[in-house]
Amino acid sequence: MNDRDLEMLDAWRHDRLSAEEFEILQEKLRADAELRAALRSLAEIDEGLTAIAMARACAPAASAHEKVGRFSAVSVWIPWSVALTACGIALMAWWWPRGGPREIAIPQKSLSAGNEVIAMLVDEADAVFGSSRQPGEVRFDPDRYELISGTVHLRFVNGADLVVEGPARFEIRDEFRTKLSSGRVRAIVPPTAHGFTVMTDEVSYEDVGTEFGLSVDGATGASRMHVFDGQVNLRRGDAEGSLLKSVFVGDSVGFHDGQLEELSDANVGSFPSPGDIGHLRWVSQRKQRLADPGLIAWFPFERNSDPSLLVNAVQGHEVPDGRISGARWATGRWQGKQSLWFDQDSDFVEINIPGKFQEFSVAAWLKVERFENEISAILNSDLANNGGLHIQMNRLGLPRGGLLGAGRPNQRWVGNPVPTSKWVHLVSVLSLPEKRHIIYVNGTPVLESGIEANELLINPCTCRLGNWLPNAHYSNDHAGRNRSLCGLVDELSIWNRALSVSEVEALTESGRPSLLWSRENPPLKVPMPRFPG
Amino acid sequence: MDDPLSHETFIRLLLRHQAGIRAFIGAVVYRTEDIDEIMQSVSLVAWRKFDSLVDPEGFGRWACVIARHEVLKFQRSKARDRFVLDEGLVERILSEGEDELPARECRLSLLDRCLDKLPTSRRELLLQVYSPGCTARAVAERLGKSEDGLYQLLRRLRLELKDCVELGLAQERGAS
Repeated sequence: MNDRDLEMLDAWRHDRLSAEEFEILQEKLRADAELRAALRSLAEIDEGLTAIAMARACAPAASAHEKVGRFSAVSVWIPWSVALTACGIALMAWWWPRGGPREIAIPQKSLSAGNEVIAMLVDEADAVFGSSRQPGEVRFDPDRYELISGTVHLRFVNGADLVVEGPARFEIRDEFRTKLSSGRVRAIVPPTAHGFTVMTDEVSYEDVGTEFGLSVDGATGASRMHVFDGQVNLRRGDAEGSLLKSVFVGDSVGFHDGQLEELSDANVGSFPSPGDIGHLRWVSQRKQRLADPGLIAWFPFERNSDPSLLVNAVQGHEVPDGRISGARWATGRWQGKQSLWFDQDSDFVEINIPGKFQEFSVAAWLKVERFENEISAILNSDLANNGGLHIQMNRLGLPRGGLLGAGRPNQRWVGNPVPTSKWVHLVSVLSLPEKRHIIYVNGTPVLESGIEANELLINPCTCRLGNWLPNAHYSNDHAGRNRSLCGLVDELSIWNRALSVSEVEALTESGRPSLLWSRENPPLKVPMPRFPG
Repeated sequence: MDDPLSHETFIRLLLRHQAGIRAFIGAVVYRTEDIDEIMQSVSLVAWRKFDSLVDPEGFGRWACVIARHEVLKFQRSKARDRFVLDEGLVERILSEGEDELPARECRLSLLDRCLDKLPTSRRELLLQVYSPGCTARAVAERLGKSEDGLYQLLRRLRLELKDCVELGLAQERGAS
């Protein structure tokens, strides 16, 4: 790190860096821990100056020296000054979300005693703990735990993630030490948690970064460990903790009755991962999903013995299984979950939806690779008959379409477009009685439109998922004719009713690909287009 | 409110640690309005989960874990912006900074003393630029300086303060 590097840091923090310099700075930051520490120091200077200047602006008149000397950046809360306390409360009001604390139950727990937070539950699927733990608790203190079934994802305060699959018995001793008596875990350890150790009765597995899986047989105490990334030191479980072996990425070992064994196969796929939790939760909601009133088709995208069939899981349905033409099976939102990959102009799934409807909702998870055509179809009725359904996106990723033959007054885009290379949840809700059509992306409305259709009913008939069969009108119009989708589709649901906003939000939440998946999508880089008229 | 004491405690803890948490966020997000937005989310999440916190002494570190998650969410929504650090780098900077809260709060308190060592005119200039609603451009115009010239001066002062704070911290560590 040199003076020029520090100047670049400061310039970036004050919007005075060119794009080229910014790239150079990023490279330097990646390589230099000292420079990263300097960046944090400069942030402190900026924040400290802001706090002191803010406190001074809020303070009653005083001499310049007193102003600077008395308002420490970290001590602005100290109630020696009524004016400052009032100012603090005003500050809280300024950045406190509207209605925030008033709508949330006040915590009843006393803050006067207790130890530090060691770990918190960040995600779970069907987790059932032994009687000592109450459902809904998120805090994990040093204690013994029995996970009877399900999977949990714990995050320790040092940043380490521990995914535990039940049945398992474990004891959290402190933020760096957990003992596993039985069950399977995966530890993901960032630099701040180097030294994070999972112990068994016989040995300790100390992570030197960054990821390993461990299983312990409760009956025999035998353990098996696989290093997914980085290095794990295997130490004796006695007080000295002498090093038995360093195990590196890709290697597996077993330990039983004092014997260390190198394994060629530690059943790597059996260790739980954070992503598994989302999948498990999704699977566990199957029954609830199928009981949903008005659901006429649910294609969970699970490959059947006949790979050309897209199975509709709704029993006794009028909507038959879909027929896959060209689209190929691929990995979906989670490992072990399938999707269909639409890549060629001729790829589609044919779905026949008999009946005529007053209301109609369609939900799909999709991941667009690129917007290759002027219009990319998600689910389009064949041809262009009145009452047909068109749910599609334009080249900017903005959803468009609706009910063919119906006027669409006040049609407008009100949200951010579908991005590429990210799973998104898209829901189209059509209601003729309410004369409205809304397309949501990740639970947020993006397209809103009125409907002018006095005698028209929704009549989807034969549709194509990921494509469109055009009519003669488009025969010479290649741009309008080719509406093939480039990307993945994972899950398609269809209802004969209009979903409410809260139902759309709940669907998005229940199917989210991972804990870290964000519902927010980037805004358009160009002005939002408008529909003609 | 059912329990005004808890509410008060929460506000007190948040005010106590807000400069440290904001500085933690500010290491990777430098625009004040963005830090404000993230801080809003952090405060809301912290409030919702407040009943899981027993020891108030752990509040700062606990809030930093929440802040790290909120920053990453925010950064993803801004991923297309030109001057946004890439996600891997953001994670690295934040995870390295999570353990620094006590030192950060110590450094922030040292900033007072370091400010005091600056000539009065320089100190007043700095605080003027950092005052709410004030911009460097407006101050430059008022002083009849070029914006670039004022920036160079401010940069020098900030780097001086950084050196002074780090020296003070090293001395305190040496004395303890």
